[in-house]
Amino acid sequence: MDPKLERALEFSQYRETLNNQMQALKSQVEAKLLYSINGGTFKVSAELITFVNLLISKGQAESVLLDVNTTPILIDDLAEFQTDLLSRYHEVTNDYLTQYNKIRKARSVKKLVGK
Amino acid sequence: MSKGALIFAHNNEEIDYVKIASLNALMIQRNLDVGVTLVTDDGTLSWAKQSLGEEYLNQCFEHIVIDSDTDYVYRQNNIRAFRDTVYTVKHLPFYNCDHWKAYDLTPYDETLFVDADYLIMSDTLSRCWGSDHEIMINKDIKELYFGRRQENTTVGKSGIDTYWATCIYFRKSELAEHLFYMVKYIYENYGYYKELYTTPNSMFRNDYAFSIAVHMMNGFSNSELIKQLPIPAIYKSFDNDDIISVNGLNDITLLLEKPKCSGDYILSRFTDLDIHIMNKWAVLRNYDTLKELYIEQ
Repeated sequence: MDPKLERALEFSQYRETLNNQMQALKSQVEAKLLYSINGGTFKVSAELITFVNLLISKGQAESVLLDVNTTPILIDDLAEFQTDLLSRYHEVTNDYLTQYNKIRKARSVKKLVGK
Repeated sequence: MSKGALIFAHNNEEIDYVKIASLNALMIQRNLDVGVTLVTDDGTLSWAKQSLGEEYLNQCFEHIVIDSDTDYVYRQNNIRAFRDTVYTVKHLPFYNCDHWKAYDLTPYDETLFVDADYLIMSDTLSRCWGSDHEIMINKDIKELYFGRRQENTTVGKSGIDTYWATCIYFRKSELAEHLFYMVKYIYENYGYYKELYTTPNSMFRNDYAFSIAVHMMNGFSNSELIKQLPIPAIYKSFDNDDIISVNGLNDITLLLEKPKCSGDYILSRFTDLDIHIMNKWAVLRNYDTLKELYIEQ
């Protein structure tokens, strides 16, 4: 095979593996960003954190929020809820960044999936 | 309220489902910190005691329930092609018609029912405990080869949503009881329901039975009566895929076959993700490594 074509195909294989690793990482992050409280499950997001912050700034201590299944869940301590959300958000996104950079910098299939 | 996981395992002449279930039980203990109950039949248990040893079985399972009420006609007739990658295919009996018994057989108030080969390699499902919902089953499923288009999101031509019976959370409650009894009714009258809902396979399949039951329970319409598990999706590999290495706790590397490229693979590494491994031999080949990793000394 033409060596140039061989290298191009190798790169294609690498990109395919890279794309799948990125998707696998995203799935892992999505799972870790789910947070359960009072029988409901919430997706920890910038939007939710901001909304909870808005409720607190309006003087609310408790509120009913809709979870991922659109089930109304009473959050009786919004301040504590916000702390938990922020903590989870930072923990997961920091880890995401580390893993993301590791994958981005790996320039071969071996480095992408190596031990 | 008591809580725990429930696994059904019925061996055929080639595949040792109890051996797979024992690994999964160790994973569940490690990741979800709950006990596991095994539901099996006399023959399978007898072989498990002989091959794995009673001490190890007791380490894996806090209860073992014998279900002697085997449907022998189903067992003889439900022959499925099991693949160990594209290179080996074996036609073997697949006994998978009794998930409806889970409600009566579970010793727990809150139960996480999982397929033996749905390997629990994260703590994500621990969010189920104490849920507001009496029963949760997933509609969302994703392939580990993420570029692959998801199929079977609806049952046959009926258009009703497919619910995947791979993993079910339920609490002892009226709604859960109704659903499991509805599945039993569908099982007993499957000839009629498979025609009505145009299921693709002629033999009974739990996924379809639960999907039909959910549809019927909801007044014959698609809706959100049954909520999704607190996970993004059920992740599955194909039986054409293979486990190439176990790298550590909750960390495995798979060879994933490319869609429409038989025998052509990409490598992919997965950490902290629960995965339905369809290639049973792939799990069994890694039995020793996985056992050593997950067993609590």
